[in-house]
Amino acid sequence: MANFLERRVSPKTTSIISLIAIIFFLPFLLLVSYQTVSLLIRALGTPANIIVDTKTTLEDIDTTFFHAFAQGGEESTDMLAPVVSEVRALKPRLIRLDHIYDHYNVVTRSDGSLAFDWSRLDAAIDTISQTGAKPLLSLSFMPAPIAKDGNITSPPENWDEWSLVVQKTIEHYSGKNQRNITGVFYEVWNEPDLAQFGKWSVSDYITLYRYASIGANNATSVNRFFLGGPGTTGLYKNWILALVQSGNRVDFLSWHSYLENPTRFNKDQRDIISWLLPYPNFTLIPKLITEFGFTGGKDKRYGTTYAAAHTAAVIRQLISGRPQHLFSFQLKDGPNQEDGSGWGLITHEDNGTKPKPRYSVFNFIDAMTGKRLLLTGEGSWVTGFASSRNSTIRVLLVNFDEGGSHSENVPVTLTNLDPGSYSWRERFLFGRDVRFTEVVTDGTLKRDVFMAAQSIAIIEISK
Amino acid sequence: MKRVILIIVAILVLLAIPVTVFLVSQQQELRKRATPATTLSLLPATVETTTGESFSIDVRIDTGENQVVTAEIALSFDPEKLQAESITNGQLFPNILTSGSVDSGTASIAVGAPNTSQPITGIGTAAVVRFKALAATEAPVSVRFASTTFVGGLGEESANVLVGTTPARVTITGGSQETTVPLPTPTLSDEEESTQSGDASSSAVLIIAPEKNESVADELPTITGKAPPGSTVTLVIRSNPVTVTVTADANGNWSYTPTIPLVDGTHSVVASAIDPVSGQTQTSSTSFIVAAGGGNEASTDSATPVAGTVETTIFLLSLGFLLLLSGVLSRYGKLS
Repeated sequence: MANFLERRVSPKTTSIISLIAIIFFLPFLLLVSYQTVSLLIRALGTPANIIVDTKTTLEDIDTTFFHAFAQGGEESTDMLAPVVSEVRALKPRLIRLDHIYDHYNVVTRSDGSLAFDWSRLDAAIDTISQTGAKPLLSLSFMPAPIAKDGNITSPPENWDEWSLVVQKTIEHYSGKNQRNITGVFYEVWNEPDLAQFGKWSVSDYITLYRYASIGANNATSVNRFFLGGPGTTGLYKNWILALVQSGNRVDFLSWHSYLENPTRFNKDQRDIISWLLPYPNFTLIPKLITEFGFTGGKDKRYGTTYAAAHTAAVIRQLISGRPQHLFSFQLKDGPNQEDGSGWGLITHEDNGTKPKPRYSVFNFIDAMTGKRLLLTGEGSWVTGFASSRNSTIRVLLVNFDEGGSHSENVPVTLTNLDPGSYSWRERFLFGRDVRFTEVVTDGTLKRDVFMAAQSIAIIEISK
Repeated sequence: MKRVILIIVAILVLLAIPVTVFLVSQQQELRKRATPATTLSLLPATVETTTGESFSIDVRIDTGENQVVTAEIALSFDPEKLQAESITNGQLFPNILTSGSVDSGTASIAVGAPNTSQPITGIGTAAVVRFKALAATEAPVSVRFASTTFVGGLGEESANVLVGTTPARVTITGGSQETTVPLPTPTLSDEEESTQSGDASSSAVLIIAPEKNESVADELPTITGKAPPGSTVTLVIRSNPVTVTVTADANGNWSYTPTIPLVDGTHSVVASAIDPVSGQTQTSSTSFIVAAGGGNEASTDSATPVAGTVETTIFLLSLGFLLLLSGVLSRYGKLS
């Protein structure tokens, strides 16, 4: 090849091509160098050295916020009906449904006027009620009979008809003389910024929202309900501020978070509070992450302990200072996802309605209720929090590695203990459950805990 | 004649009713819109402790007439002398909005009222900070409120109703076995430490422009004010917090023009300055509305991650290296 080049191409041409190649590929080389350094830094992260001050109590820990779940519209049926008992065991407070208009044939046009058939959607709402949860209804998508060109992601031909659809929906589910459900959340649209769902501009979305709020305000004889949005694919400042500045009724703010790094959830919470400080009427309204996961794409890791550890690590980041509800997406796989790539906590009935690892996280962490204790020494991979309830101290540890392989021997030290004999129990979500007896003489108790990759453990210490 | 007088009296009465109603409503509005009057202080204001000991300081709030919904509290201190171990909410604020964060020389937390319909008024504890004394001090060290501290109030012209802060002073002596002995709790009226700005005094920091609730068409509005001559003025502009410092000139004038356009909507400015003579911190705040008619702001970097593949990158890199290698070696005749 070199001989060929030497014979056919002049040295000057070769130099020019080399120069162009260097200029063209230099950015790629820099990118690769950056990613290599990032990987090295990650590999050289900080190991944890957990210290719990058993006498320094902080606020109460509330574990109800993560008992919220979303179900996507992978089938136009009552998807949760086959898994009611499994879902009920999750103790859900809220369950979110989207596609309520296009999957349940609610709206039809007859003789020029709109008609509403709630029977199919009612069945899905009844199923949610059977699980013990209340519904969060994503007012999506545009009913085909009122949409421009019948396209369900388009605006309506007549905005007043969209207002009417929203009004009738609220009156049906929140109406005192109809379904009579209290405290229903109505979220205007689902991921409006996504091309798949219409790629609405901010101003167009505000128009959509405005007519939805008109419909909400027209609803009569209804229980207390909440209207909000924008339910975007991420937390976007311009969407949030546009909504709070729009002058419309806004009872809650919502967004989705598909972020691999759990600390980003904490950052988002700090960001939205910071953005809303100049708007004191909105600072305290509920914030809802109405879908979350480590990626928005289908991924086989959703069927592994990777997803479970990610969920636990996110909960740890939000255990103090958080949105009102954190909705795990989603409750059940769609069909034809036997390869394990579905988002579900539970497999589809065609695949045995089997719980996946993530399913077990929520009730496991419920054991952590109590007074939060001061915990320091979290590392790059192993994080946690501690609590005290009924004379038992509990330390939750989660080892989440985005790379998927890091394991660690974690020193765990409890300080300011009264002298005496203590029971030390290590209870892993998917692993060992062992007990030791330890004697404390100087107020300190220390043991090393091996945390395998993507593992979650609760250490219980009692006298 | 009597009839004419009666008619005049009737007309006067009819006129007096709406005027009276208007004046009363104005008075009520004035009562509703109390000026920003909230202060924050650290209690105890002086602490004596020994190296290695831990102690707690309360962040006390006095809302005055304000109806407070949120308090974003940021503290700064000498990291060589003090370490913040924890910061959490106080009894007056049951709602933790952002988790307490402690770092080298800083501690912060955002706390809130139960909800907007139950704003907080009165005096109480907004947060509790736990410190550890790291090293002995030759003179007392201060724990101060950072300029990003913000107290949100309802129904005020300015969202930030904070007008003054009072720091704490900590004296650390050597040794590690003695018990922490906080001194008797001083009151907020401790003039030496009090940093309330309140209404303008001769040395207070002031924001002159934009005026409260002024609508400005410029997305880069110049902010001007007064401060003690030669003092460093720290400005915090929200909603996306931008913190800058400017220096007041010999006449006490200062100004700042943002370099990044402000989005349309309400923004607040908090100006704080340390008087070079007295060492006291003074703050002033205002809010204004940018109405520049700008377009949509770009999304934050928290967009949904887009999946990529490494194969394309590897292919392009390989191709590049191959071209580079063949070009360079051909040039020097190393390949045969």
